[in-house]
Amino acid sequence: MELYAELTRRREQIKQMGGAKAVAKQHQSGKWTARERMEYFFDPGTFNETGMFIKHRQAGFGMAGKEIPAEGVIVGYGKVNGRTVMAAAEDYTSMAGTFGEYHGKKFARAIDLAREMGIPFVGMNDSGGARLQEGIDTLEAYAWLFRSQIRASGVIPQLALLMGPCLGGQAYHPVMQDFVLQCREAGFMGIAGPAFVKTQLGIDIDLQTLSGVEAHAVKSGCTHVVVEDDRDCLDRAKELLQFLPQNNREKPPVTKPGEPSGAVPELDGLVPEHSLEPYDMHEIIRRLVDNGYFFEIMAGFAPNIITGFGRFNGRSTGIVASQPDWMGGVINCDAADKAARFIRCCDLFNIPLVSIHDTPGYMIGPEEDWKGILRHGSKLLFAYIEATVPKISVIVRKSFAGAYLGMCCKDTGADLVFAWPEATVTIVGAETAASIIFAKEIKSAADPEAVRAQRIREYRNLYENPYNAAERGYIDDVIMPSETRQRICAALDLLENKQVTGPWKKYSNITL
Amino acid sequence: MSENNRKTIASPVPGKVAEVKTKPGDQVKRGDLLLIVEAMKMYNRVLTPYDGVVREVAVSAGQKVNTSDPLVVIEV
Repeated sequence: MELYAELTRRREQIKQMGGAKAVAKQHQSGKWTARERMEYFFDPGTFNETGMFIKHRQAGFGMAGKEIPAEGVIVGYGKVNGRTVMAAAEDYTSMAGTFGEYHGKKFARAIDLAREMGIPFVGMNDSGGARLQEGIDTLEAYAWLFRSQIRASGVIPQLALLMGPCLGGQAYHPVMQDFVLQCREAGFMGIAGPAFVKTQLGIDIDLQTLSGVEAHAVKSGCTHVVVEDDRDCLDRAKELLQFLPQNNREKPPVTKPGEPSGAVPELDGLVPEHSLEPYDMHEIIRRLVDNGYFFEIMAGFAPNIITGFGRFNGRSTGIVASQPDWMGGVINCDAADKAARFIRCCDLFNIPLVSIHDTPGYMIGPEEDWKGILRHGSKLLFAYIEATVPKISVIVRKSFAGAYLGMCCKDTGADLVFAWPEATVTIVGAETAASIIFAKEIKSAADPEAVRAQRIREYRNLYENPYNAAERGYIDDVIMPSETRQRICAALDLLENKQVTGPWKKYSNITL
Repeated sequence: MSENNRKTIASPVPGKVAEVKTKPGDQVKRGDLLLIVEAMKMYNRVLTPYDGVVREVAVSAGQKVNTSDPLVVIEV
């Protein structure tokens, strides 16, 4: 029938995207096309495209009659690991995937639908930026996109896959999603590209240095996961979705436990006894989680705190841990920002939190104080105190002063606090404490050094252990390191149906 | 020797040099321990990000250092 043939012809035309030449160019630059990405991302045969025939309505500046297949962005839904997901993939082969009025409308509608249906949204960014020919129509379309994604923020998980360029105001789109995955060679984002930086500021800088993975996974903290290429990016996105629920009214899927929640003897004696000695916290995390599998988030930014997902008995769990191997695990502005956002993300999506303390404190000194350590450091307090998900803390060695509160202690939100025998929980180190409390006595003593040493010993014996806090009930139990996995698994069982109701308010005035 | 071949390793934190683990003339490989800076009740290991030869050790044990103070110069 002619009508059917017409449909087939139209569909096939659009599926050619920008044409053979443009597709070849996309492949030459090491990238897949938008359609190839969608095909790989969704379970075979489950992708349903919507808005294929959407077309711009512009006439100015050479736009009249210009064919831009699917308006440069492919949108649709399907199954990922058997669960329904909405996705949009920008098509760089069609007018460089530029963002115009109807391109924006497709994007925003996809997010609205995902929010209403309570399913995750995944955006694949690969665009030459704003379609300047369209003027205000393009500009306003950014507002549609931002409004849709922010209204969906906290309702459904949103993942940004940075698989090509995303420069200019458009780059607010990926960073405002829950997680940004950036391709090592091809993914770029930034408020302006090198050409604009050159003309406006006179600075010569190449695209990779200005907007690549080093810029965002290490320096700016905008990227959560660095991936190698398109295949790796889509694989990691699928993995990440497995840790997340479909929406904020659900719990994340429970996978089959990979191993029994038994004792882990290798943890005993793992932490160096000398409290100044660094070690790699990943060694502890890998021994605690199911199958030793830890999906790290923001590994390259503020490595003095570790954030990421693991499972306990199949249950998706957010882990926040000090990293003694990097600046001694001290909490500075960047570490606090990184952890606070992660904690709030877990809380939004009903993911329990395990916090592992081994930190000497918040970073002091003019540099951090002037950068606003008080303002940034307090985000951790807001995040932990307000989070209503199950919260378990494990103090493996040092937990001093403000950092004891900032890493989640009993009364900054922990439902259960465990400490290892190596733990020292106190407001200040013995040397500092003794020299302040007994300053006069030490100064006037016949042998000041002997008195000082004596007072330090006393303070240490009384406070530098887990028992003083356990006597007050601030530590629920002192446990062998080898018991930790069992105890966390049992605690998560206990906390499974935790319910918390707070006072009514719009939201807290968090120290942004 | 050109300036570009000389790489300066700076202190990552303000603190006190606890121990110097290298001396001029040492052949070092990326990841080798150069010295330890004690700060905030922790030993911070300063590792070399470069392969090369140590040309200069600018600090000694017990010395106070600030963030970005030069510690070691390596010829790569």
